Amino acid sequence: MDYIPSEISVGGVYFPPLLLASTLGVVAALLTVLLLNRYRLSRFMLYPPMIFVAIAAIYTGLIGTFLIPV
Amino acid sequence: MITLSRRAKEAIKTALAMVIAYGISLGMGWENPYWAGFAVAMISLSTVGQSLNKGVMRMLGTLVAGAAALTIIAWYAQDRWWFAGILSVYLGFCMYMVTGKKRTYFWWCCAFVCLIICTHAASDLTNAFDVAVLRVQQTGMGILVYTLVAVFLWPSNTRGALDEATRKLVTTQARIYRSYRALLNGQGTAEESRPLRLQEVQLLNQHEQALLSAKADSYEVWELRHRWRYFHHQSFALMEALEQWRESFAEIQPLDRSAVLPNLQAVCTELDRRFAAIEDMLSGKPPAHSPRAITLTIDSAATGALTHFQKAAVVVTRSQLDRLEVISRSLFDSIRDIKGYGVPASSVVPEEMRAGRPGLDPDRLQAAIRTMAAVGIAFPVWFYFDPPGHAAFVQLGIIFLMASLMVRLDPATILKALLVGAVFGGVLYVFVMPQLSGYLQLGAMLFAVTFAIYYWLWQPQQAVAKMGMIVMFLVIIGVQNQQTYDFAQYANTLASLALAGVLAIAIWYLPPSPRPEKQFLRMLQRFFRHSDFLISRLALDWDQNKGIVDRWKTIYYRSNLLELPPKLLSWAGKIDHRAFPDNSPEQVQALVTSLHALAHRIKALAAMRDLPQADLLVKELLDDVRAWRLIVEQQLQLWADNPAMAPGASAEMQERVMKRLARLEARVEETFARVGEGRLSSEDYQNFYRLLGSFRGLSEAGIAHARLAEKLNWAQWQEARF
Repeated sequence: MDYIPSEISVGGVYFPPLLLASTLGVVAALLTVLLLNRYRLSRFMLYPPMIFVAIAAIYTGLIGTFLIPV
Repeated sequence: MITLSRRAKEAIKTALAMVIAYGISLGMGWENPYWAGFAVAMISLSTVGQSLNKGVMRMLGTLVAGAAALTIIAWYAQDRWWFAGILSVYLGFCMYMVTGKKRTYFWWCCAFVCLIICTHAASDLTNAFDVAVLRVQQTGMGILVYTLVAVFLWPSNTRGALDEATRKLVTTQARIYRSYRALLNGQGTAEESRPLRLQEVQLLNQHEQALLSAKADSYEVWELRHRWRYFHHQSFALMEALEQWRESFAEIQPLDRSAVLPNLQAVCTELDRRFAAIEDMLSGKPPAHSPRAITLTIDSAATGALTHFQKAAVVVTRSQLDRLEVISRSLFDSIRDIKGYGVPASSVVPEEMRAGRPGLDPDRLQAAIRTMAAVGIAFPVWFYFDPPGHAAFVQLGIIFLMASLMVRLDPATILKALLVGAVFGGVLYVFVMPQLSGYLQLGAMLFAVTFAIYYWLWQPQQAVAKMGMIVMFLVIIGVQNQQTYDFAQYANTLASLALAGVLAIAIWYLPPSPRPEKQFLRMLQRFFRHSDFLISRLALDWDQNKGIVDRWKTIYYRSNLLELPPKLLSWAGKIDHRAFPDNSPEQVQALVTSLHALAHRIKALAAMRDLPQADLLVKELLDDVRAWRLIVEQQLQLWADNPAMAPGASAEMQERVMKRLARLEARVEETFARVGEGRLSSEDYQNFYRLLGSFRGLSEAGIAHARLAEKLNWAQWQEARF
């Protein structure tokens, strides 16, 4: 277990690593849905807002697992 | 001497009022002086009248909200679920009213102030009454300060603006009338007058706003407010009547009008002179012409050779010109009374033209349900997880959503404005405010920042950015008499803002999809469903008194049908046309205009259906009218299921409808021949011709819509998108 979760300090205020991971997850999901819209792949989805939440959750999980330990 | 622009003067007034309001609040030792600052920031508008009007709405809304909040707290303070439940019902009701047309800002204040007081009380019950009173007094003081500043410093009266708006409106409507007259005579096209029609709608809105403001700051306008109101209603009626007149040109243009309607030019010239006289009066000149009653006459000998549908078109044209005659005369009378020319303003102003509409509006109901859902989610999250910001999370999240629903704007857009404001406020809070000492320096900062925000973000389309900046600036700096600085507090505010944004966005995206093109499609479906229902109730043998629900639905759908095209136009304006390049804004606008025409035709047909028809004709032509009605109903049902049309389908539809109308015409001919002279009165003939004219008008409006619909790429709008 090399990854040890640690809080992020901004001006002496400690933020949970999950906050950063989820922010990055949402940004990555936004970029993904932009591409899905651009190439009209969103038309295969039943309810895109829900898919967006799912993509953001997947990205957050991946970032939390591999980049920023949460 | 430096000459200040209007924009600079308005910014100075707001900034000065802000400094004074903060100064009084701090001087009196009141907590939360930013509440007074909010009142100043929100009611600051370009004229005293507009600000006074908004200020009164804010004050009354705050008082009602205070009373409602204290009642909810008194009754349900011991049970948090009842507390949240009743609050959600109250907010849902307010939100339903906010999304209506009248007293929007009053209901908005009723909602959000109650939420603020209740959430404050939920965390500090003993001070609930003090919080409510404090909110009321801070709001009242802020409004008073801004009003006094606006009255004494560069006061701007709205009376001039109202006169100007009226003059522009009348000039535009007169130009539209003249262009339609030319169009009837074969000069120009309907497309050429489209910019004028758009301008007319904008001017009607401007006139309504100017009247609302002028009533508040001009005694003369207040004295004649009923006459002004009536003038506004008549201008609206004129817009509708002119449109209906234009839509009937296709039927009347092929005829020899000078033979069929011998005094048509005389009637049109009389109307023209009336408009010119109204324009004269608005320019301060006495009217050069007094209206004289004139009726369009029909030459019965010349109409004898016409087909039944042509006769019907002639009768319809006469009823439309009669309506224009009545409206233009009442407009003339209104302006003559207002301007004091000739006889004094003694005539009685008729009652409101539009009766109240029964029933619930599904769009407004949806807004109310979303608000209740936000309360239902925010409170349990607060109870069980206590997120950053605590009560502020609940307040911000719900207010955020309500604001989005009110202005029909994606919460993400509002969140961006608030985040920019929060960052801007944070810079001042962290780097500037700790350097200040005393009110002179703080006041200078408040003045400079408020001035800068109101000066740079002055255009109407920047209103969201302006509000986001000023609100977050006032919240973040958190001015108090015992000022403290805490970065953690700032970070918490930012975190609660982000979480509140997430809550609002999540509720916003609950089904049905809030995307403008999807809202447009849903509303279009509703339009066709209502149309189908109304047409099905037009059967000549349908018993009008059958069932309370049916009657209620008929009344509701009839009034709702005319309200849907303006709503569709508003959603059409929000569609991102870059994402749907196949459907240009002009095409969409033309489509909405065709729906408007269709709605008018259905309304006219329903009105004609109410006229008494000869039993003999009803009996003879029942089957043929039914066959036509079934074709129309079938098409409306198809559009309700899917508004798309295959290429060439409109031509096929035109052929089908016209064939059916030709058959109906032949049957009418046959029936009249069989019935013979003397068995039908002239009123029977007239009523029947008007009904026939409505059939043709509706058929042509439907065909015109079909032609536009087949050119749009509906599949693109129907596709799911993020």
